[in-house]
Amino acid sequence: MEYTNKNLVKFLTFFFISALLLSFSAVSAQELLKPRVFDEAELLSASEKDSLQVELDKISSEFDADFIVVTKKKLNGMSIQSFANKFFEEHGNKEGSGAIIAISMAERDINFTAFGKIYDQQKRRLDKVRASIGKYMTAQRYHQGFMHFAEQVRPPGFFGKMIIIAGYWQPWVFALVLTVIVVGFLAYNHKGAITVGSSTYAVPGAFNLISSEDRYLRTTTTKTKVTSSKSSGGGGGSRSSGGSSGKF
Amino acid sequence: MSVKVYYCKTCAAPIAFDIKEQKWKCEYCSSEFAKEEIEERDGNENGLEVEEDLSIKMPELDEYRCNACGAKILTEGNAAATFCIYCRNPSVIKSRFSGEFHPRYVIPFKITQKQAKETYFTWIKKRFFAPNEFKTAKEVDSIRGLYAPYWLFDCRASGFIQGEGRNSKSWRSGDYRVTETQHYFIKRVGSSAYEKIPVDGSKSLPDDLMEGIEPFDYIGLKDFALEYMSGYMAEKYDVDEQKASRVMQPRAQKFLRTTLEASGQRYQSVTISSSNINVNSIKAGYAMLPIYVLTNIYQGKKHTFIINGQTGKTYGETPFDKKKFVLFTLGLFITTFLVTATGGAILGIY
Repeated sequence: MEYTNKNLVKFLTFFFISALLLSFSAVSAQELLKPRVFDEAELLSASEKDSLQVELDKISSEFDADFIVVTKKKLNGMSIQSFANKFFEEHGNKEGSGAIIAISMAERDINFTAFGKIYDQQKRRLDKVRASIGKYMTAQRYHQGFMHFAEQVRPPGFFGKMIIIAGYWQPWVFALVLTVIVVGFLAYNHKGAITVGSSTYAVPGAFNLISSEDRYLRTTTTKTKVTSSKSSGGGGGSRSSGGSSGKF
Repeated sequence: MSVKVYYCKTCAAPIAFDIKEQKWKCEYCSSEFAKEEIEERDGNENGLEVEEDLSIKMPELDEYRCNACGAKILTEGNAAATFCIYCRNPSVIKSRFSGEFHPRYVIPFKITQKQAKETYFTWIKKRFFAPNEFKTAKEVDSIRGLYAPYWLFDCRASGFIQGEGRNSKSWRSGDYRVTETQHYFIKRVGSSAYEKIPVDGSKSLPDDLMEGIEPFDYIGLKDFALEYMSGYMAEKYDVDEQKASRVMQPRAQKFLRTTLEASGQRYQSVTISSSNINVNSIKAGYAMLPIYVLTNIYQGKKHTFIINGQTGKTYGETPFDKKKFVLFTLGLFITTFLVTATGGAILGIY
């Protein structure tokens, strides 16, 4: 028994290490060539840059998308949103998915823009992610903030999702409406129907309409404008994208 | 003799009215008798009492004794027909059906005690938030059949209503919706007659609930005879004709108002601005009508449930368990929310 166990441990260790090496080599072959940290404002040390690059590589391969961080000293009048879009197209990709964090020190602008698949995942959280990273920028904890970016874009787990859903009003309102309907239905305390009407005790044929008068008084007319809704046409076939900009 | 007990012709045991047979039945030897048969027997047995003349007022006694066992009969409140608490024999107190308390009509029971219990049970089961203690067999058992004192009013009503009738039509013209309304002054004058509008003559029975079990089917209306009371509880009235008439008149007015409103030219909508209806030629008949009553006392509040003993129509109030309501509501809300959130998370809606 001991013999087999030892062999098994050996085998597993070997297998694990080779798998790790293989995946590393795969990553280095495909991804290491692509720079993902563009620290033009020189906010990060060399080691910080490296660790951020590793982190961004990791999520980039995980989601099959490009994640980019760019820092600028100044934008020279360009809007941070158009800068981010342009920069992503140059350094990320033109067709696929991804996200970019761009900051400019002179204007204290920060932008988070997502593209394609990542945009679909993050479209409701653009402002949240931007604001959350913006806080780190304000505190001048740049490395921590950018590392936090990787955490932010990773889709939440099941309970994470539940917590996010709890933050929206729709499920609460849905639960409330359903509860009110069901409880209302059950609590509707019907005493019984009243079946006695004006004819129940009337002597048949005893009703005598002595006189009946109908005099025309006037006619009133009201006009209300009818607003016809027209649906707006869809856009072209380009990939979806969206961003959120702010100050830090 | 002021307490009346009807005896079986065959075995001389006390007999009571049987609903299913609509005859008088002996519990002991299963003999059945029609009304004429017990009357005849009665006359032959007691030579002194050939005919019951209830139109003459009999003096109220301080106490009544059971004819079967001689025990004192408890005659609380307005009880006019009851049971001896010792020997369970049906006893009818004649003085409480005589003179001014002599009923003119009776509608015999058609719904049996068993059917009444079933009716209540079906009814309470549907009341989800009713306290559970009211859904027990013990509670159901306390339902009791009762001949309730009723005033049946015949009357005439006459008067007028006036107000405004409106007809409108609506169409679309370009970007506008145009609504044109024609207004008319309307007046209707008329009269009608009503027969046997029932008003209960007991203070302990709430009028609004008693209206709920109406109507009684007057085809089953019979001339009153003491025999029908045997085997049931019955009460004499404590609301007199005058007072009951004041309850009846607004009803008759409402009936005529509704009829007038529905007569003549019709409109899409009508507003009545004024009306005046007189009720006259009022005649009242005193009657004993069959009902089943169950009173739930919950947290010091009375809730009355009533069944029409002839037609089976039900009406009543149910106690409401607040604790049950709050717990259920919270539970449902949390469950719905969790299901929604879980569903949302699984389907990736958010």
